[in-house]
Amino acid sequence: MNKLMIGRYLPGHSVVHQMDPRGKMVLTFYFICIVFMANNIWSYLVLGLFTLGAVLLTRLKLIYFWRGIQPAIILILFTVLIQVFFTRGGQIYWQWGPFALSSAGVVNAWFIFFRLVIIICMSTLLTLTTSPLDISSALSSLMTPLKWIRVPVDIIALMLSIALRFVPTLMDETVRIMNAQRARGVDFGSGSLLQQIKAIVPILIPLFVSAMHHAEDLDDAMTARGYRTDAPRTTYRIIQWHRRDTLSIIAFAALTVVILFVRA
Amino acid sequence: MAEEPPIISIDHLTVRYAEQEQPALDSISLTIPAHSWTAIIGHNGSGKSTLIKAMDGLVTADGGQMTVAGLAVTEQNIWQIRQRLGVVFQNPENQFVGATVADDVAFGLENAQVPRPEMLTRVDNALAQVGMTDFADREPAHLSGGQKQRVAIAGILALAPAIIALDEATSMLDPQGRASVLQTMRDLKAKENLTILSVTHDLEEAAAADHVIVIDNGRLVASGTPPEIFAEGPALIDMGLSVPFTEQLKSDLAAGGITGLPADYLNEEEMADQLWKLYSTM
Repeated sequence: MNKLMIGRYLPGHSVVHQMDPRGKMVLTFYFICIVFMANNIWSYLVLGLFTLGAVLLTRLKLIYFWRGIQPAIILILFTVLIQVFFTRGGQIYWQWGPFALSSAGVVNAWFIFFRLVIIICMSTLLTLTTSPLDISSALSSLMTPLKWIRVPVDIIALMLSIALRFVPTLMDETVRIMNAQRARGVDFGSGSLLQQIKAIVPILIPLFVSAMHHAEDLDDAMTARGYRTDAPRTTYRIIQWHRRDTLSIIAFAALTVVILFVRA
Repeated sequence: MAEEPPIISIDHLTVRYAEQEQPALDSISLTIPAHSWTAIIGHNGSGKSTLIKAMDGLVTADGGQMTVAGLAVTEQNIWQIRQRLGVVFQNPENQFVGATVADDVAFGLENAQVPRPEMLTRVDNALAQVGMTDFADREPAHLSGGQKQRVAIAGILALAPAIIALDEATSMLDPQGRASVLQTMRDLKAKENLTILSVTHDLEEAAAADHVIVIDNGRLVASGTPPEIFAEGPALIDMGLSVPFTEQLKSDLAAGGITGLPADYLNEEEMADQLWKLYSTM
Protein backbone atom coordinates (compact mmCIF):
# COMPACT_ATOMS: atom_id res chain seq x y z
CA MET A 1 0.00 0.00 0.00
CA ASN A 2 2.79 2.38 0.91
CA LYS A 3 4.55 2.12 -2.40
CA LEU A 4 1.54 2.86 -4.53
CA MET A 5 1.87 6.41 -5.82
CA ILE A 6 -1.50 6.76 -7.54
CA GLY A 7 -3.32 9.70 -6.00
CA ARG A 8 -0.62 10.28 -3.37
CA TYR A 9 0.14 13.83 -2.39
CA LEU A 10 3.61 14.91 -1.30
CA PRO A 11 3.63 18.29 0.42
CA GLY A 12 6.22 20.76 -0.78
CA HIS A 13 6.83 24.41 -1.47
CA SER A 14 7.87 24.41 -5.12
CA VAL A 15 6.36 26.66 -7.77
CA VAL A 16 4.30 23.74 -9.02
CA HIS A 17 2.95 23.07 -5.52
CA GLN A 18 1.84 26.66 -5.16
CA MET A 19 0.07 26.86 -8.49
CA ASP A 20 -3.65 27.40 -8.66
CA PRO A 21 -5.17 23.90 -8.58
CA ARG A 22 -7.78 24.87 -11.18
CA GLY A 23 -5.10 25.95 -13.61
CA LYS A 24 -3.07 22.84 -12.87
CA MET A 25 -5.99 20.51 -13.53
CA VAL A 26 -7.09 22.20 -16.73
CA LEU A 27 -3.52 22.40 -18.02
CA THR A 28 -2.84 18.75 -17.24
CA PHE A 29 -5.96 17.78 -19.16
CA TYR A 30 -4.94 20.07 -22.00
CA PHE A 31 -1.42 18.60 -22.02
CA ILE A 32 -2.80 15.08 -22.42
CA CYS A 33 -4.75 16.30 -25.46
CA ILE A 34 -1.61 17.89 -26.93
CA VAL A 35 0.34 14.67 -26.52
CA PHE A 36 -1.92 13.08 -29.11
CA MET A 37 -0.99 15.76 -31.63
CA ALA A 38 2.65 14.71 -31.59
CA ASN A 39 3.53 12.47 -34.53
CA ASN A 40 7.27 12.64 -35.14
CA ILE A 41 10.49 12.39 -33.23
CA TRP A 42 10.90 16.17 -32.87
CA SER A 43 7.48 16.73 -31.39
CA TYR A 44 8.06 13.92 -28.90
CA LEU A 45 11.42 15.38 -28.04
CA VAL A 46 9.81 18.76 -27.32
CA LEU A 47 7.09 17.15 -25.18
CA GLY A 48 9.64 15.03 -23.37
CA LEU A 49 11.80 18.03 -22.53
CA PHE A 50 8.76 20.00 -21.42
CA THR A 51 7.67 17.17 -19.11
CA LEU A 52 11.19 16.84 -17.73
CA GLY A 53 11.26 20.58 -17.08
CA ALA A 54 7.94 20.42 -15.24
CA VAL A 55 9.07 17.40 -13.22
CA LEU A 56 12.29 19.18 -12.21
CA LEU A 57 10.28 22.25 -11.21
CA THR A 58 8.42 20.19 -8.57
CA ARG A 59 11.77 19.57 -6.80
CA LEU A 60 10.53 16.11 -5.87
CA LYS A 61 12.76 13.05 -6.11
CA LEU A 62 12.54 11.35 -9.51
CA ILE A 63 11.97 8.02 -7.80
CA TYR A 64 8.37 9.08 -7.04
CA PHE A 65 7.66 9.51 -10.75
CA TRP A 66 9.22 6.15 -11.48
CA ARG A 67 6.92 4.62 -8.86
CA GLY A 68 4.02 6.28 -10.63
CA ILE A 69 4.97 4.53 -13.86
CA GLN A 70 5.71 1.18 -12.20
CA PRO A 71 2.14 -0.12 -11.77
CA ALA A 72 1.44 0.66 -15.45
CA ILE A 73 4.59 -0.97 -16.75
CA ILE A 74 2.96 -4.23 -17.83
CA LEU A 75 0.26 -2.31 -19.64
CA ILE A 76 2.89 -0.18 -21.39
CA LEU A 77 4.96 -3.19 -22.45
CA PHE A 78 1.88 -5.03 -23.70
CA THR A 79 0.79 -2.05 -25.81
CA VAL A 80 4.31 -1.60 -27.13
CA LEU A 81 4.63 -5.29 -28.12
CA ILE A 82 1.28 -5.23 -29.91
CA GLN A 83 2.43 -2.16 -31.82
CA VAL A 84 5.72 -3.82 -32.70
CA PHE A 85 4.27 -7.04 -34.02
CA PHE A 86 1.01 -5.94 -35.63
CA THR A 87 1.99 -2.77 -37.44
CA ARG A 88 3.04 -3.25 -41.05
CA GLY A 89 4.68 -0.56 -43.12
CA GLY A 90 8.04 0.55 -44.33
CA GLN A 91 10.71 -2.04 -44.42
CA ILE A 92 9.70 -5.49 -43.16
CA TYR A 93 12.51 -7.26 -41.34
CA TRP A 94 10.78 -10.45 -40.30
CA GLN A 95 7.42 -12.09 -40.84
CA TRP A 96 5.58 -15.12 -39.44
CA GLY A 97 1.85 -15.59 -39.98
CA PRO A 98 0.02 -12.49 -38.73
CA PHE A 99 3.13 -11.23 -36.91
CA ALA A 100 5.57 -8.92 -38.54
CA LEU A 101 8.48 -6.80 -37.44
CA SER A 102 8.61 -3.68 -39.53
CA SER A 103 10.36 -0.34 -39.33
CA ALA A 104 7.01 1.47 -39.01
CA GLY A 105 6.06 -0.88 -36.18
CA VAL A 106 9.23 -0.13 -34.26
CA VAL A 107 8.81 3.61 -34.73
CA ASN A 108 5.15 3.46 -33.68
CA ALA A 109 6.01 1.40 -30.64
CA TRP A 110 8.53 4.00 -29.51
CA PHE A 111 5.95 6.73 -29.97
CA ILE A 112 3.33 4.86 -27.93
CA PHE A 113 5.93 4.20 -25.25
CA PHE A 114 6.84 7.87 -24.98
CA ARG A 115 3.21 8.95 -25.10
CA LEU A 116 2.23 6.72 -22.17
CA VAL A 117 5.28 7.63 -20.10
CA ILE A 118 4.73 11.36 -20.66
CA ILE A 119 1.03 11.15 -19.81
CA ILE A 120 1.66 9.15 -16.64
CA CYS A 121 4.43 11.51 -15.55
CA MET A 122 2.23 14.56 -16.01
CA SER A 123 -0.77 13.09 -14.19
CA THR A 124 1.48 11.84 -11.37
CA LEU A 125 2.86 15.36 -11.21
CA LEU A 126 -0.66 16.73 -10.73
CA THR A 127 -1.56 14.37 -7.89
CA LEU A 128 1.86 14.57 -6.22
CA THR A 129 1.79 18.35 -6.00
CA THR A 130 -1.91 19.01 -5.35
CA SER A 131 -3.56 18.14 -2.03
CA PRO A 132 -6.90 16.29 -2.28
CA LEU A 133 -8.42 19.35 -0.65
CA ASP A 134 -7.20 21.61 -3.42
CA ILE A 135 -8.43 19.12 -6.00
CA SER A 136 -11.90 19.17 -4.49
CA SER A 137 -12.05 22.95 -4.26
CA ALA A 138 -10.72 23.20 -7.81
CA LEU A 139 -13.37 20.77 -9.04
CA SER A 140 -16.15 22.67 -7.33
CA SER A 141 -14.86 25.92 -8.74
CA LEU A 142 -14.59 24.45 -12.23
CA MET A 143 -18.12 23.06 -11.95
CA THR A 144 -19.57 26.51 -11.17
CA PRO A 145 -20.85 27.06 -14.74
CA LEU A 146 -22.98 23.93 -14.29
CA LYS A 147 -25.14 25.93 -11.88
CA TRP A 148 -26.76 27.37 -14.98
CA ILE A 149 -28.20 23.97 -15.80
CA ARG A 150 -29.29 23.54 -12.16
CA VAL A 151 -26.60 21.12 -11.09
CA PRO A 152 -26.32 21.44 -7.26
CA VAL A 153 -22.63 22.32 -7.42
CA ASP A 154 -22.28 23.41 -3.77
CA ILE A 155 -23.83 20.21 -2.48
CA ILE A 156 -21.64 18.09 -4.74
CA ALA A 157 -18.58 20.02 -3.55
CA LEU A 158 -19.52 19.51 0.11
CA MET A 159 -20.16 15.81 -0.51
CA LEU A 160 -16.79 15.50 -2.19
CA SER A 161 -14.99 17.22 0.66
CA ILE A 162 -16.79 15.10 3.30
CA ALA A 163 -16.00 11.95 1.31
CA LEU A 164 -12.30 12.88 1.17
CA ARG A 165 -12.27 13.75 4.86
CA PHE A 166 -13.75 10.36 5.78
CA VAL A 167 -11.37 8.26 3.66
CA PRO A 168 -8.72 7.90 6.41
CA THR A 169 -11.41 7.38 9.06
CA LEU A 170 -13.00 4.53 7.14
CA MET A 171 -9.60 3.07 6.24
CA ASP A 172 -8.68 2.92 9.93
CA GLU A 173 -12.02 1.37 10.68
CA THR A 174 -11.56 -1.27 7.97
CA VAL A 175 -8.23 -2.28 9.48
CA ARG A 176 -9.77 -2.39 12.95
CA ILE A 177 -12.69 -4.54 11.77
CA MET A 178 -10.33 -6.85 9.85
CA ASN A 179 -8.17 -7.34 12.92
CA ALA A 180 -11.21 -7.91 15.10
CA GLN A 181 -12.52 -10.52 12.67
CA ARG A 182 -9.07 -12.11 12.41
CA ALA A 183 -9.03 -12.41 16.18
CA ARG A 184 -12.25 -14.38 15.85
CA GLY A 185 -10.74 -16.70 13.31
CA VAL A 186 -11.75 -15.20 9.96
CA ASP A 187 -9.03 -15.96 7.41
CA PHE A 188 -8.45 -13.25 4.80
CA GLY A 189 -6.58 -13.74 1.55
CA SER A 190 -6.43 -17.52 1.46
CA GLY A 191 -8.57 -20.36 0.18
CA SER A 192 -10.57 -20.53 -3.02
CA LEU A 193 -12.00 -17.48 -4.73
CA LEU A 194 -15.44 -18.20 -3.28
CA GLN A 195 -14.03 -18.52 0.25
CA GLN A 196 -12.14 -15.25 -0.15
CA ILE A 197 -15.29 -13.47 -1.28
CA LYS A 198 -17.17 -14.93 1.69
CA ALA A 199 -14.46 -13.70 4.06
CA ILE A 200 -15.12 -10.13 2.89
CA VAL A 201 -18.73 -10.15 4.14
CA PRO A 202 -17.76 -9.84 7.84
CA ILE A 203 -15.81 -6.69 6.94
CA LEU A 204 -18.28 -5.16 4.55
CA ILE A 205 -21.41 -5.32 6.68
CA PRO A 206 -19.95 -3.79 9.88
CA LEU A 207 -18.24 -1.15 7.73
CA PHE A 208 -21.50 -0.31 6.01
CA VAL A 209 -23.39 -0.11 9.31
CA SER A 210 -20.73 2.10 10.84
CA ALA A 211 -20.76 4.37 7.79
CA MET A 212 -24.49 4.80 8.41
CA HIS A 213 -23.78 5.74 12.03
CA HIS A 214 -21.17 8.24 10.90
CA ALA A 215 -23.68 9.74 8.50
CA GLU A 216 -26.44 10.04 11.10
CA ASP A 217 -24.18 11.67 13.67
CA LEU A 218 -22.66 13.97 11.09
CA ASP A 219 -26.15 14.96 9.96
CA ASP A 220 -27.06 15.94 13.53
CA ALA A 221 -23.80 17.81 14.03
CA MET A 222 -24.19 19.68 10.74
CA THR A 223 -27.82 20.61 11.40
CA ALA A 224 -26.96 21.74 14.92
CA ARG A 225 -24.36 24.05 13.40
CA GLY A 226 -26.93 25.58 11.12
CA TYR A 227 -26.34 23.77 7.83
CA ARG A 228 -29.28 23.99 5.42
CA THR A 229 -29.07 22.57 1.92
CA ASP A 230 -31.31 25.25 0.46
CA ALA A 231 -29.76 28.28 2.13
CA PRO A 232 -26.95 30.38 0.66
CA ARG A 233 -23.56 30.09 2.37
CA THR A 234 -20.33 32.03 2.35
CA THR A 235 -17.02 30.25 1.82
CA TYR A 236 -13.94 30.16 3.98
CA ARG A 237 -11.55 28.47 1.58
CA ILE A 238 -10.68 30.41 -1.54
CA ILE A 239 -8.21 29.70 -4.30
CA GLN A 240 -6.26 32.55 -5.79
CA TRP A 241 -4.90 33.08 -9.25
CA HIS A 242 -1.30 34.30 -9.27
CA ARG A 243 1.12 35.53 -11.89
CA ARG A 244 2.81 32.11 -11.95
CA ASP A 245 -0.49 30.63 -13.15
CA THR A 246 -0.71 33.08 -16.01
CA LEU A 247 2.92 32.30 -16.84
CA SER A 248 2.18 28.59 -16.92
CA ILE A 249 -0.65 29.20 -19.39
CA ILE A 250 1.77 31.16 -21.58
CA ALA A 251 4.25 28.27 -21.36
CA PHE A 252 1.59 25.81 -22.50
CA ALA A 253 0.52 28.12 -25.32
CA ALA A 254 4.14 28.34 -26.46
CA LEU A 255 4.40 24.57 -26.28
CA THR A 256 1.32 24.23 -28.48
CA VAL A 257 2.79 26.57 -31.10
CA VAL A 258 6.09 24.68 -31.12
CA ILE A 259 4.32 21.33 -31.45
CA LEU A 260 2.18 22.58 -34.33
CA PHE A 261 5.36 23.84 -35.99
CA VAL A 262 7.46 20.69 -35.65
CA ARG A 263 4.84 18.00 -36.16
CA ALA A 264 4.86 16.34 -39.53
CA MET B 1 -28.80 36.67 38.80
CA ALA B 2 -31.96 35.64 40.61
CA GLU B 3 -34.10 38.21 38.77
CA GLU B 4 -33.00 36.98 35.39
CA PRO B 5 -35.50 34.59 33.77
CA PRO B 6 -34.24 31.05 33.22
CA ILE B 7 -32.43 30.61 29.90
CA ILE B 8 -34.07 27.27 29.25
CA SER B 9 -37.49 26.28 30.47
CA ILE B 10 -39.10 23.01 29.61
CA ASP B 11 -42.70 22.26 30.42
CA HIS B 12 -44.07 18.72 30.22
CA LEU B 13 -41.86 17.70 27.31
CA THR B 14 -42.64 14.30 25.85
CA VAL B 15 -40.70 12.65 23.05
CA ARG B 16 -41.63 9.30 21.61
CA TYR B 17 -39.57 7.46 18.99
CA ALA B 18 -41.64 5.67 16.38
CA GLU B 19 -40.20 2.22 16.98
CA GLN B 20 -40.45 2.31 20.77
CA GLU B 21 -43.45 1.83 23.01
CA GLN B 22 -42.11 3.72 25.99
CA PRO B 23 -41.53 7.43 25.44
CA ALA B 24 -37.88 8.47 25.43
CA LEU B 25 -38.82 11.51 27.49
CA ASP B 26 -41.93 11.43 29.62
CA SER B 27 -43.44 14.76 30.64
CA ILE B 28 -40.24 16.45 31.72
CA SER B 29 -40.41 19.91 33.28
CA LEU B 30 -37.34 21.83 34.31
CA THR B 31 -35.69 25.22 34.18
CA ILE B 32 -32.06 26.09 33.79
CA PRO B 33 -30.80 29.43 35.10
CA ALA B 34 -28.65 31.61 32.86
CA HIS B 35 -24.85 31.55 33.29
CA SER B 36 -24.91 28.31 35.26
CA TRP B 37 -23.26 24.95 34.74
CA THR B 38 -25.85 22.21 34.80
CA ALA B 39 -25.01 18.53 34.66
CA ILE B 40 -27.59 16.04 33.41
CA ILE B 41 -26.94 12.52 34.59
CA GLY B 42 -28.69 9.21 34.08
CA HIS B 43 -27.82 5.71 32.92
CA ASN B 44 -27.59 4.71 29.25
CA GLY B 45 -30.85 5.09 27.39
CA SER B 46 -32.39 7.28 30.09
CA GLY B 47 -33.12 10.04 27.57
CA LYS B 48 -30.36 12.53 28.34
CA SER B 49 -29.19 12.93 24.77
CA THR B 50 -32.76 13.06 23.52
CA LEU B 51 -33.36 16.03 25.80
CA ILE B 52 -30.47 17.94 24.20
CA LYS B 53 -31.60 16.98 20.71
CA ALA B 54 -35.16 18.11 21.49
CA MET B 55 -33.89 21.54 22.56
CA ASP B 56 -32.03 21.88 19.29
CA GLY B 57 -34.97 20.63 17.25
CA LEU B 58 -33.13 17.53 16.07
CA VAL B 59 -35.94 15.36 17.40
CA THR B 60 -39.50 16.60 17.43
CA ALA B 61 -41.47 16.75 20.66
CA ASP B 62 -44.79 14.95 20.91
CA GLY B 63 -46.05 17.20 23.64
CA GLY B 64 -45.08 20.03 25.93
CA GLN B 65 -43.42 23.39 25.44
CA MET B 66 -39.82 24.49 25.46
CA THR B 67 -38.25 27.91 25.52
CA VAL B 68 -34.56 28.21 24.75
CA ALA B 69 -32.78 31.55 25.09
CA GLY B 70 -36.07 33.41 25.06
CA LEU B 71 -37.43 31.67 21.96
CA ALA B 72 -40.10 29.01 21.87
CA VAL B 73 -38.85 25.87 20.15
CA THR B 74 -40.97 25.81 17.00
CA GLU B 75 -40.42 25.13 13.33
CA GLN B 76 -40.10 28.86 12.56
CA ASN B 77 -37.68 29.63 15.37
CA ILE B 78 -35.47 26.60 15.13
CA TRP B 79 -32.68 28.12 13.02
CA GLN B 80 -32.44 31.10 15.36
CA ILE B 81 -32.32 28.77 18.34
CA ARG B 82 -29.54 26.79 16.71
CA GLN B 83 -27.52 30.01 16.54
CA ARG B 84 -27.96 30.53 20.29
CA LEU B 85 -27.48 26.94 21.38
CA GLY B 86 -24.29 25.16 20.37
CA VAL B 87 -24.05 21.41 20.81
CA VAL B 88 -20.82 19.43 21.09
CA PHE B 89 -21.64 15.79 20.47
CA GLN B 90 -20.11 12.63 21.82
CA ASN B 91 -18.01 11.23 19.02
CA PRO B 92 -15.43 13.77 17.85
CA GLU B 93 -14.83 11.78 14.66
CA ASN B 94 -18.45 12.03 13.52
CA GLN B 95 -18.91 15.75 13.91
CA PHE B 96 -15.82 16.84 12.02
CA VAL B 97 -17.21 18.25 8.78
CA GLY B 98 -14.30 20.23 7.38
CA ALA B 99 -11.29 18.87 5.58
CA THR B 100 -8.93 20.70 7.93
CA VAL B 101 -9.23 22.16 11.42
CA ALA B 102 -9.74 25.71 10.16
CA ASP B 103 -12.33 24.57 7.61
CA ASP B 104 -14.24 22.76 10.29
CA VAL B 105 -14.32 25.73 12.63
CA ALA B 106 -15.49 27.89 9.72
CA PHE B 107 -18.32 25.52 8.79
CA GLY B 108 -20.92 27.03 11.11
CA LEU B 109 -19.87 30.55 10.11
CA GLU B 110 -20.30 29.68 6.44
CA ASN B 111 -23.82 28.52 7.22
CA ALA B 112 -24.52 31.75 9.09
CA GLN B 113 -23.29 33.63 5.99
CA VAL B 114 -20.60 35.49 7.86
CA PRO B 115 -18.45 37.42 5.36
CA ARG B 116 -14.99 35.93 4.80
CA PRO B 117 -12.82 38.69 6.39
CA GLU B 118 -14.79 38.43 9.63
CA MET B 119 -14.71 34.64 9.37
CA LEU B 120 -10.90 34.66 9.34
CA THR B 121 -10.63 36.56 12.62
CA ARG B 122 -13.40 34.56 14.29
CA VAL B 123 -11.80 31.25 13.30
CA ASP B 124 -8.41 32.42 14.61
CA ASN B 125 -9.93 33.59 17.89
CA ALA B 126 -11.90 30.41 18.41
CA LEU B 127 -8.82 28.27 17.77
CA ALA B 128 -6.77 30.39 20.14
CA GLN B 129 -9.40 29.99 22.86
CA VAL B 130 -9.10 26.21 22.79
CA GLY B 131 -5.33 26.28 22.26
CA MET B 132 -5.37 24.77 18.77
CA THR B 133 -3.87 27.65 16.77
CA ASP B 134 -0.85 25.62 15.68
CA PHE B 135 -3.10 22.92 14.28
CA ALA B 136 -5.18 25.13 11.94
CA ASP B 137 -4.02 23.42 8.75
CA ARG B 138 -4.04 19.86 10.07
CA GLU B 139 -6.39 17.23 8.76
CA PRO B 140 -8.63 15.34 11.22
CA ALA B 141 -6.77 12.08 10.60
CA HIS B 142 -3.69 13.60 12.23
CA LEU B 143 -5.42 14.70 15.43
CA SER B 144 -6.05 12.86 18.69
CA GLY B 145 -9.57 12.42 20.07
CA GLY B 146 -9.11 15.22 22.59
CA GLN B 147 -7.80 17.57 19.91
CA LYS B 148 -10.77 16.82 17.66
CA GLN B 149 -13.10 17.54 20.54
CA ARG B 150 -11.34 20.88 21.06
CA VAL B 151 -11.89 21.66 17.40
CA ALA B 152 -15.58 20.79 17.81
CA ILE B 153 -15.73 23.22 20.75
CA ALA B 154 -13.93 25.90 18.71
CA GLY B 155 -16.48 25.39 15.92
CA ILE B 156 -19.25 26.13 18.40
CA LEU B 157 -17.40 29.04 20.05
CA ALA B 158 -16.87 30.76 16.70
CA LEU B 159 -20.65 31.02 16.46
CA ALA B 160 -20.75 32.76 19.88
CA PRO B 161 -23.78 30.94 21.29
CA ALA B 162 -25.33 31.85 24.64
CA ILE B 163 -25.63 28.21 25.66
CA ILE B 164 -23.23 25.35 25.02
CA ALA B 165 -24.50 21.82 25.46
CA LEU B 166 -21.88 19.11 25.86
CA ASP B 167 -23.60 15.87 24.92
CA GLU B 168 -21.22 13.40 26.56
CA ALA B 169 -18.48 15.35 24.87
CA THR B 170 -15.78 13.93 27.11
CA SER B 171 -16.92 10.32 27.23
CA MET B 172 -14.54 9.07 24.54
CA LEU B 173 -11.47 10.85 25.84
CA ASP B 174 -8.71 9.66 28.14
CA PRO B 175 -8.66 11.13 31.68
CA GLN B 176 -6.09 13.75 30.69
CA GLY B 177 -8.00 14.83 27.59
CA ARG B 178 -11.21 14.96 29.61
CA ALA B 179 -9.69 17.10 32.33
CA SER B 180 -8.21 19.55 29.85
CA VAL B 181 -11.44 19.87 27.80
CA LEU B 182 -13.42 20.50 30.98
CA GLN B 183 -10.89 23.04 32.19
CA THR B 184 -11.13 24.81 28.82
CA MET B 185 -14.92 24.91 29.16
CA ARG B 186 -14.71 26.23 32.73
CA ASP B 187 -12.34 29.01 31.68
CA LEU B 188 -14.55 29.90 28.73
CA LYS B 189 -17.66 29.93 30.86
CA ALA B 190 -16.05 32.38 33.25
CA LYS B 191 -14.78 34.56 30.41
CA GLU B 192 -17.75 34.58 28.05
CA ASN B 193 -20.50 34.29 30.66
CA LEU B 194 -21.93 31.21 29.00
CA THR B 195 -24.54 28.80 30.18
CA ILE B 196 -23.28 25.25 30.04
CA LEU B 197 -25.32 22.10 29.97
CA SER B 198 -23.33 18.94 30.23
CA VAL B 199 -24.73 15.49 29.75
CA THR B 200 -22.35 13.12 31.43
CA HIS B 201 -21.61 9.77 32.99
CA ASP B 202 -18.67 11.20 34.82
CA LEU B 203 -19.82 11.93 38.33
CA GLU B 204 -16.72 13.87 39.26
CA GLU B 205 -17.65 16.21 36.43
CA ALA B 206 -21.24 16.41 37.73
CA ALA B 207 -19.99 17.08 41.25
CA ALA B 208 -18.26 20.23 39.99
CA ALA B 209 -21.49 21.61 38.42
CA ASP B 210 -23.81 24.24 39.89
CA HIS B 211 -26.88 22.08 39.39
CA VAL B 212 -27.47 18.42 38.77
CA ILE B 213 -30.49 16.95 37.04
CA VAL B 214 -31.09 13.21 37.26
CA ILE B 215 -33.08 11.51 34.54
CA ASP B 216 -34.17 7.90 34.77
CA ASN B 217 -36.15 6.09 32.08
CA GLY B 218 -37.25 9.34 30.48
CA ARG B 219 -38.46 10.86 33.74
CA LEU B 220 -36.96 13.62 35.80
CA VAL B 221 -36.28 12.07 39.18
CA ALA B 222 -34.21 14.65 40.98
CA SER B 223 -32.81 18.10 40.55
CA GLY B 224 -30.67 20.15 42.88
CA THR B 225 -27.16 21.10 43.84
CA PRO B 226 -24.51 18.35 43.76
CA PRO B 227 -24.44 17.94 47.59
CA GLU B 228 -28.24 17.54 47.64
CA ILE B 229 -28.20 14.97 44.86
CA PHE B 230 -25.19 12.96 46.00
CA ALA B 231 -26.42 12.81 49.59
CA GLU B 232 -28.90 10.25 48.22
CA GLY B 233 -26.05 7.90 47.46
CA PRO B 234 -27.87 4.52 47.73
CA ALA B 235 -30.85 5.79 45.69
CA LEU B 236 -28.49 6.74 42.88
CA ILE B 237 -26.98 3.28 42.88
CA ASP B 238 -30.49 1.83 42.60
CA MET B 239 -30.98 3.91 39.44
CA GLY B 240 -27.96 2.26 37.88
CA LEU B 241 -25.72 5.25 38.48
CA SER B 242 -22.51 5.22 40.38
CA VAL B 243 -21.65 7.73 43.09
CA PRO B 244 -18.67 10.05 43.38
CA PHE B 245 -15.52 8.65 44.94
CA THR B 246 -16.17 10.19 48.39
CA GLU B 247 -19.66 8.65 48.59
CA GLN B 248 -18.20 5.31 47.57
CA LEU B 249 -15.57 5.66 50.27
CA LYS B 250 -18.23 6.55 52.85
CA SER B 251 -20.31 3.47 52.04
CA ASP B 252 -17.23 1.24 52.05
CA LEU B 253 -16.24 2.64 55.45
CA ALA B 254 -19.77 2.08 56.75
CA ALA B 255 -19.56 -1.52 55.56
CA GLY B 256 -16.31 -1.80 57.52
CA GLY B 257 -17.97 -0.50 60.68
CA ILE B 258 -16.82 3.13 60.55
CA THR B 259 -20.05 5.10 60.80
CA GLY B 260 -19.17 8.40 62.37
CA LEU B 261 -19.22 10.37 59.10
CA PRO B 262 -22.00 12.88 58.37
CA ALA B 263 -24.73 11.74 55.96
CA ASP B 264 -24.36 14.86 53.76
CA TYR B 265 -22.38 14.80 50.54
CA LEU B 266 -18.75 15.71 51.08
CA ASN B 267 -16.23 16.69 48.46
CA GLU B 268 -12.70 15.32 48.69
CA GLU B 269 -11.41 18.11 50.90
CA GLU B 270 -14.35 17.93 53.30
CA MET B 271 -14.00 14.17 53.41
CA ALA B 272 -10.34 14.47 54.36
CA ASP B 273 -11.26 16.97 57.09
CA GLN B 274 -13.98 14.73 58.48
CA LEU B 275 -11.67 11.75 58.51
CA TRP B 276 -9.07 13.75 60.43
CA LYS B 277 -11.72 14.81 62.92
CA LEU B 278 -12.98 11.27 63.32
CA TYR B 279 -9.49 9.89 63.77
CA SER B 280 -8.33 12.45 66.34
CA THR B 281 -11.40 12.00 68.56
CA MET B 282 -11.03 8.23 68.62
